[in-house]
Amino acid sequence: MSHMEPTAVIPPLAGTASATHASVSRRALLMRRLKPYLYLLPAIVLLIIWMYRPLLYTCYLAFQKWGMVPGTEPTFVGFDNFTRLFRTDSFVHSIGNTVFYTVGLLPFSIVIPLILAVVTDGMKGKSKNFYRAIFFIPMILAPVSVGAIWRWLFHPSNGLVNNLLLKLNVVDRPIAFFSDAQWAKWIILFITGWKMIGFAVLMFSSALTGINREYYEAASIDGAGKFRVFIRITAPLVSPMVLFMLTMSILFASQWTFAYIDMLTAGGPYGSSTNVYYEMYKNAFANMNVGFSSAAALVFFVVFGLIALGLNALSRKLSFYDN
Amino acid sequence: MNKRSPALTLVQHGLLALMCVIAVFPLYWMLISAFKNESEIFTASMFPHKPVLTNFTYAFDEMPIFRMMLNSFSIAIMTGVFQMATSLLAAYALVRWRFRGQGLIFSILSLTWLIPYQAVMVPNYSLVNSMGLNENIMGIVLPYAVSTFAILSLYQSFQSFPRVLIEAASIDGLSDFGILVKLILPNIKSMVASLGIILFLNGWSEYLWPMLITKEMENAPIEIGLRLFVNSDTNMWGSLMAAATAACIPILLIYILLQRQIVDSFVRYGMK
Amino acid sequence: MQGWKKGASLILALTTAFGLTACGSSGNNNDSNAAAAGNASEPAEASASAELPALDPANPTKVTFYSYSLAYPTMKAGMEELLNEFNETVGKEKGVIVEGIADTTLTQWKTDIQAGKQVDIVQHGFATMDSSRQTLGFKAFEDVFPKDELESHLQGISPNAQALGKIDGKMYGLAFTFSTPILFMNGKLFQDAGLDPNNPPKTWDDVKAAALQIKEKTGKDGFGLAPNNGWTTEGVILSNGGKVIADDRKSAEFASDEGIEAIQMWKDLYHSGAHAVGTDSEVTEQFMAGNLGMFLQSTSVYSGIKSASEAAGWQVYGAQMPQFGDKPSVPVNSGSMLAVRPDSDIKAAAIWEFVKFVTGDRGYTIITSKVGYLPLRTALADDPNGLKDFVDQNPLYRVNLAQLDRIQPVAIWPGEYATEIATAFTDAIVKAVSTDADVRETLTQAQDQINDMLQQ
Repeated sequence: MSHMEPTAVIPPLAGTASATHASVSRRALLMRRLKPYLYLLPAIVLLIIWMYRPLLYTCYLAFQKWGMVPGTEPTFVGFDNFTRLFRTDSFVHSIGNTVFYTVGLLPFSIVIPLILAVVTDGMKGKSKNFYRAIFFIPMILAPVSVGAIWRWLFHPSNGLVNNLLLKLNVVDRPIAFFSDAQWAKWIILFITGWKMIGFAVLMFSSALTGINREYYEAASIDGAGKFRVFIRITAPLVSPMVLFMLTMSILFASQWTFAYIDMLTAGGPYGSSTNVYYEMYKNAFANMNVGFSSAAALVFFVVFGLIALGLNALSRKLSFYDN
Repeated sequence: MNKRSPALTLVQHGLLALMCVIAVFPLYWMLISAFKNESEIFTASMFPHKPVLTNFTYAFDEMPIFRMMLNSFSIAIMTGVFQMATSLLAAYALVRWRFRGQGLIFSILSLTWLIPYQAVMVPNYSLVNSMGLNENIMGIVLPYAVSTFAILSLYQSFQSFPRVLIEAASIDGLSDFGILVKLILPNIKSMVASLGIILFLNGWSEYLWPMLITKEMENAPIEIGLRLFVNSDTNMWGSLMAAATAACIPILLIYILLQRQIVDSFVRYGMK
Repeated sequence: MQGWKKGASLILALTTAFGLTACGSSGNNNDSNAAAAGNASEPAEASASAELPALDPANPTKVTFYSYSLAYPTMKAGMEELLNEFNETVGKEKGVIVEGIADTTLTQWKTDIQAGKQVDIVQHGFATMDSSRQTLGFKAFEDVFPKDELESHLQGISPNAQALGKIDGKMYGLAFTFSTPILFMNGKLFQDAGLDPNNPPKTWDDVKAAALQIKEKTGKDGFGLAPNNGWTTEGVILSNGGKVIADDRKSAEFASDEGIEAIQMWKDLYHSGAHAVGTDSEVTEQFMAGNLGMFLQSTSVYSGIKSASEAAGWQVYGAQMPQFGDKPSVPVNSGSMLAVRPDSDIKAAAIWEFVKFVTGDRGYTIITSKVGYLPLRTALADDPNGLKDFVDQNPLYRVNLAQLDRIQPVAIWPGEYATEIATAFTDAIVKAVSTDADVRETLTQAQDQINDMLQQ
């Protein structure tokens, strides 16, 4: 930072600059150069302490065997954790489920909310606000409350859902939603999605509101149909938001499902509803096998990194719509 | 836009109404279950015929609910404030200036987004323990003092702020910090408020980390306390729903009070 | 410039704050490392001294006791009474204060050890003791407590129970709470179905017939045993002459013909249309709500079931675990032992006082009558000063005591992968029983996988 060329940047001052003036402006210039970094410092320092330092430490732990017990030291085991990882059934299952949850969540984070946002956007203020307010309610509830309520609703013998299904003769045996492998992960997906919709509607609504009304007016004067308006005007203009939600959804689907997996199925039955993050948690804190957990974390950091790079490239392509 | 057939409107409202039912029914069921007595709790009745308060008295006897709510508020407000402060400064710097290393900093920020918390939980857990912050609210808040989500969201909304206005203010002699506080913030305050609310809610519903840090109800946020209650109690559905109701009430109240602001701020947002 | 100053001072304040916490953290880190290093060296000294130092009543020693029973609503009051009575009598007299910590998650003691907290006594399950001993610093009783006192204290405790905590000839846990599975019956549903709860089903065939009858007559499920129950399953396999783990604990053996036949029987029952579905806690909830005819479950939930049934106005009956044909059933026992990790001689002395009290006559009297577990000093059941009255009033305990001589310990999986192995076993059972998967194939596959882990 020390070698700066003042002449290029400083606007010419009125009058003649004395020697002292020059040194003041030199200091001011230094400040000016440093300023962006000072503004960024708190965020960067915190990120280093709580994100990058631990990430490096996790990389180190991935090659160690350690139970996190104070007084014990990690022992180096080379690539053992990785080779074991790919021979473990539950981990292999968890990869498939991670993909399942990620893809399965897209309708809830993009398709349905986009439809709801577009439909309500065309409405008058009052009903528009009413609907959006209602849709948003699940989002503000915390996961434990949500998990408790759904566990009660889906209980095999005492729950309302099974009660109704039996009464309506849809099924003749109650469904064990949380311990039937055919159901468990769908229920987890449904609950996660149910909670997501409101947030996504709000995000899309804000994107739609940002669109200049004049575009629509011009289009309707031109006599364009509703569908055409959507394809020609709405879709391109909300595409950055779609991409944003897509990225969020892909990167965070596994995070969002975590709480419900932990509360409702603990990954079961026989690992059929677990995901990668839950396996990491289970290995570190229940099986006391930190190295294993760290190796899994590393593998997935790399995988998600690649996905994100792809999305990032896509985002650059699309972002010209956003002026 | 306003030329729509009544039939279509009806279908639209019907669909939306159905979505509304799906969205709020679980909440309604929680509420009425909390008031049902023992003989009614297992029935499908849609209204408690003889509402009782025993479920609530049991839940409040078993759990330090007010204490845990206070913990939740402290955690949510502190994380929200920390995150807002750090990300306002960071996002402003990124929008306001072009500087060396900007690309690198962007990568650092974006990369953070990819790091699942599970990938850093073990080292952070060790660090918080060695700082003596286990079972401590600060142990929950500190690792969450910065949010890349907040930085990038603010960056996005800062970008939509006309640069001309910033340049004009700068020429008028407003300092850089002044531009942030006096010019930009007042103009995008609805966005900032909305983001603040989202950050507060995130802090309120954080699951994994508080669960690792607090194990005793006295120190736990209400959600984690509720989880402990869920795990320990079998078949006390009425009391469980009463406890869940209690845990939801503060957040629902805030939502009812600020609902217009939360939703309207998104709708009103959009500068000419 | 004024604004800039404000900004700069804010940033300065923030960085200073974090600089400080960072310093603080590294300082503490050193402390805890030092303490941990101390921990590691001390037990050797403790084992060397035959006599424990005297406790000081004026300056009592505090020990922590992690107990999942303290977290269980139906057992909480009894456990608290046990702790209070100790603290007010022996504790006050000798100088020990025990702090009970309710372990809601069953793993809190583990994470607290990870967190460097003081974890002295743990109510520990049987199945994973070997792995805890190896990785979590638990001590053998012989190494930390006076030998002669230990020997005299163990007299009167059922040898079956003592054997449970022994690994390589040393006792790493002393049986504390003890229960076996029994067949709970809902008296009302039995009568509604035209069955007599006083003449309970004896074999699995009887169980199936009764279950179908209950389903047909009342519409409620007839029988429930959750596939993920974990340890009652082992009793089912053992009852048919199978084994879960080889005697030398070097390999798993549950996929033998006997084991497969036993699980196949259960699978047929499960898919008969009269078997409850759901997780262990869900099936428990179903029985408590009065919606299940028979329920094979540990006696430890008896107090909860009893109060639920009384509130709802039906009576609960108990029978011995069902048997295969004319082979007497072989129940396993669930429950817990006390595992200890003293880090100094004075701590060892304090822990020893507590262990003696809670596994003594008075302790077991409270544990059985107030908490709901079996008395491991079996003589107490016929002792008028002990539990005679209580057992007479609760004949269900006789059922349990009658099973005690046939009982076998639950499998203790060796080594550091015990938790993974236990999970693999349970997962295989759930899959074999609740889905269409072939029993032999599923169990054999799981057994191979477990044997792989055992050989590592």
